[in-house]
Formats: sequence, structure tokens, C-alpha cells
Amino acid sequence: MNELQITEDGRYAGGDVPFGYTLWGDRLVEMPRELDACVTAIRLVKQGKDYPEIAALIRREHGVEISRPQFDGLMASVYRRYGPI
Amino acid sequence: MRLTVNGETFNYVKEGEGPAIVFLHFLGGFSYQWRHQIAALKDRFTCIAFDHRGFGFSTFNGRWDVPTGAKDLEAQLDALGIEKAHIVGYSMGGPIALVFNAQWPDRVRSLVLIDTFAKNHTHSKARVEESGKCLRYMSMREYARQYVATRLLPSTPKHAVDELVSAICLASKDAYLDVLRGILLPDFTEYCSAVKVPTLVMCGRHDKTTPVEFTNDLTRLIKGAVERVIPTGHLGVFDDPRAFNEALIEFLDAQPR
Repeated sequence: MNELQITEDGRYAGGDVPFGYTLWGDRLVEMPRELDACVTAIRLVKQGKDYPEIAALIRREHGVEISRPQFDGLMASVYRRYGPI
Repeated sequence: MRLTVNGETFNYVKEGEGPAIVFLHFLGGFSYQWRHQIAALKDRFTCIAFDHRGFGFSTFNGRWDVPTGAKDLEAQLDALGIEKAHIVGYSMGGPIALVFNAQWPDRVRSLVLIDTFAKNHTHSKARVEESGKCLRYMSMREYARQYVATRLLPSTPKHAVDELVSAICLASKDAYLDVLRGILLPDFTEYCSAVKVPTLVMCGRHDKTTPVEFTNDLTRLIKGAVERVIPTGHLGVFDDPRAFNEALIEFLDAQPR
């Protein structure tokens, strides 16, 4: 996993593009279906579900794939922002 | 209503008659989130709720830290001709209330400190750094949606979830980050010993943002403080407004008029 690098003015400067975003030039652009899936993933983690179950539910409910590294990256950022959830 | 002090134009509401209560909202909220408390108290108190600078419908021309928040409150009370008030500080409002009380103790009738802390000693630096990075590329809406998913209880009604997301979307990103730095990194413990007025310290049992231990610290540090733990998370005003109001109103009604 390569840590995302973002400049002070919000430009992409390297690392893994977070789930929920796509790279357009040096900007990260929102992917609405994936962002909905992020919220679902956080809620499911809070309910004690683990990755395989969450990935399956997200595939069914949102029609998107979240890989293990993407899921881990999302949750690492969430835990760093908010601590225990 | 709006008033301009300290280089900012503040949105506020003022309703009712009687001794003044000033409500200081949580990070990402604004005065509207106090509407249920104002409705329940305005027949016997003058209820005032400001949007902090950079939140709700207030401007953000400068910067924010807790002493600035306390100075804003002093200037707002001066502008409204209010000498003394009960101060209710929710989460970020707690440190503002503590610093205001230490600087202008004669202007405080009582304090209510809700889901807040004297020193936030968990994950503060990491939270500030990660939030700073995320807010450089995330919209406030997406930041808010993820925040809300982590913080409200599964039983919180959807309309309350949506309301909180909308409220956070009104916040300026710069103000939001200033508040994270301003409340999470400093230690406000020294201000607790300056509290000489009746104080209620209130917390949600399931609060993971400012857990019950932070409330226990405040109760220990503030002489004579009364502690109430209610069956909510960090944002009890959304999770269970009835339990929230019950604890708050019981304390305020018991204060000398």
C-alpha cells in the first residue's frame, strides 16, 4: 500500500487513489456509487461485519467491487480521523 | 438575526424571556440544532444560540482557536446587552465555555458541559493530520457522510442523520480544520479549577468521540460538578432528544433565577 500524497491545494501527488475517487489529471474526482459504498462499509464495520461479508453486500447493494487493499485503506483513514467507531 | 463583532458577521437566534442561556454548538453543527431545547425553555429563559464563526450562516474571515471563540462570545453578549448567562457548551462548545468562564467569571451563572473534555488525549494529532489531508480533496458532504456513519447510533432516525450531514456541509473547511487543531491539541485542564458556579457535566454512555472517561475527568476537576450519563452516543441531541432534554432542563430549572 502506498500512502496517498496530497498537496496543500488539494492536488494528487502520488500514492494509492482512495476508494470513492478516480484520478483526472492531478485531481481526485468523486465516484458517487463508490462513495455510497464507503458509507455502507463504515456502517457494516460498526455492526461487527468483516471484509468478505462487507464486499459481498456492497457488490449486491451498490454494484461496485471493493478490493481488500481499498477496504483496508478506507478503514485506516476512518480510524485515523475518528478513532474507535 | 445577524450581528457583526470581531470582524465576523454571526448568525444567531434569540427567543424567550427570563435569565439568559447561551447555547454553544458542537463541531459541524449550528444554532438550528438547539431548536428543541429552545422550544422547551423559552417560556422561562431568554435562549440565545449563535453559529460559531465559519459554521452555519456565520462568516469566516479570520482564524479560529478557543480563546477567539471565547472572545467572540464576550463580544456577542456585549452586543446583545447581556451581563450574565447560563452557558451550555456542547463538544467544541465545552472548551469555549471553560475559557470564557476563566476570563469573565462574573458573566457566568452556571455551566453545562456536554460530551466534551478538558484534554482530549486520544488520537488527537492523527485525527488532525488525517482530517487535514482528507479535507484537501474530499467535499464537505462526503467528509460529513463518513463522519456521521461513524458517530451516530444505528437507532438514530434517518432525518436526523440527513440533518447532521446538511449542517456539516454549511461549515467552511478552513474553520473546521482550525477547530480540530484548536480543540484537540491544547490542554484545557487549568481552566477547570476556575469554575466556581454550579456545573452539570453530561455525556452519552456510547460516546466514542469524547468517551465517558473524559466526562469523569471533568467531574473530578470541577469542584461540585454534577455528572449525568445518558443512553446516547456523542450526539445525543440527535440520538435521543428526550433523554438529552430531560437531563439538561432538570439542571437549568434547578438554578436560582
